[in-house]
Amino acid sequence: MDKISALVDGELNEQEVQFNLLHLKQHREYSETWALFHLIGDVMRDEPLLLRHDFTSRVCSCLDREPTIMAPRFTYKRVAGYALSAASLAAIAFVLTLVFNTDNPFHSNQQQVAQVTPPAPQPVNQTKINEYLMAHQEFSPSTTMQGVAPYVRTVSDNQENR
Amino acid sequence: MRYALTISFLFLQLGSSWVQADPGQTADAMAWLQKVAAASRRISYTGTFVYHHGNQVETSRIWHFVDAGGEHERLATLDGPLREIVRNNEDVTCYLPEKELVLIEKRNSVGRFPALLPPQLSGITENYVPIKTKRDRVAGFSCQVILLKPKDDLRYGRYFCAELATGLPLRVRTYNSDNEIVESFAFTALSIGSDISKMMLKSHFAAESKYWHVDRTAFDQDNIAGDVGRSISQVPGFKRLAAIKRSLPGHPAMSQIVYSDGVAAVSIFIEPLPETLPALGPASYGAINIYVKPQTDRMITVVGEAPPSTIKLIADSVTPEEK
Repeated sequence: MDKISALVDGELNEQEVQFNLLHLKQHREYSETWALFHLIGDVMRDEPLLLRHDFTSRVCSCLDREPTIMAPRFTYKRVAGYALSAASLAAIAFVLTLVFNTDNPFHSNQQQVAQVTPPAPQPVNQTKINEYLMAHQEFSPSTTMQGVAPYVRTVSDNQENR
Repeated sequence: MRYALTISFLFLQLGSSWVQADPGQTADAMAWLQKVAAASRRISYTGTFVYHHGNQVETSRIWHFVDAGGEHERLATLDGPLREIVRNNEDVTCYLPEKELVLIEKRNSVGRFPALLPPQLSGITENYVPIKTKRDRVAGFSCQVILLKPKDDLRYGRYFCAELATGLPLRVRTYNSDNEIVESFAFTALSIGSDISKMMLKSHFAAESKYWHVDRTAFDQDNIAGDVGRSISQVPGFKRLAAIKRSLPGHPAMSQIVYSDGVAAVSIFIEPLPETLPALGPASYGAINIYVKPQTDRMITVVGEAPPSTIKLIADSVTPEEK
């Protein structure tokens, strides 16, 4: 919260600004707080409120309807930035893989089993099966035990890669 | 690692000794399960959890709020593009921005389905041995481990680690008969009883999804499926929980018959045979297995949290009714 305040007041260094802007884009509460802080600032400074409260969302929805023009302007610095972030993401992914693999005591066992068992069930076209999953989920005791969490299967990011 | 090994060791041990389960122990473990079921409906919390299935790992944020109006929840994925699920009691809405799709499941009557209340836990001891084991710590909270060891190969084993004070399940795992984890949910950060504003429960896509395609699935819990044109033979341990008529987007009206063994549920969907058939045969998603097969003029789709062989067995238990 104080980070947003510092961001509004221009008190962060460049790296922190980059990080917080990224955060703003990804988290709605964060961006709503950002808007709220500006509103508070405007009111405190007694500036006239020129924009309607839903200005941002209306601009965004207008932008969404605009055709996309594909003309990226690549500079060396920018490409280097992308490469760097890709490298760090790869590092995180690698560490995660290590963590989850070492956590799995059945890892080697699983591979032995795979050689002898008949072909495993194939992942299906998730879009088609989603409705069935949702329709089933509500009756499942796992919903009683865990609430909405098991529904994550219906919005999984990996559905189409599988 | 050491921890997971202990669990697998426990399961192996129990393979030979479950018959000697102490009744006092069983009652204690059952009391914990009741506490888990109640916690999900009574406790407000917000946290981050990891969903792990196969080789896939996904992180999501969850906000769960309980008031006089019931349960209100929002789940937002943290990996990849933002996708959301908003649940208000029985009404569930999924937002899939990549497909510009909203999936809505709506129940056409008020109140939670009676069969979903804790009495369903009664079937558990017939099919599973509940065991209270050790204490552990998840997301900074102490929790009690409860295991459900299946009495036969028709079901998966379950693991719960329930927060000591509230019973909130902090870690839930599903094991197959080879003691492999098929699926797991685990909190990595959690705040219990926290203040959640209504704004946090509102979808990020509430406004823009107005331009998206909306798929609705619905059922009426009083609209009982009468003659489904099929006879279904009993699969050991699975009791009929519900038989309803329902709608699914892009499908003609169909019947859904739900069986449960107290822990796992299996749905049988029976609908007229479509002109273009979907992918037939087995499929899987985490602990959910699916089997699709055409049968004369009908298509049978079986979906449930049971091993592939059980799902196939249930699909094969559906036969054309003899006239």
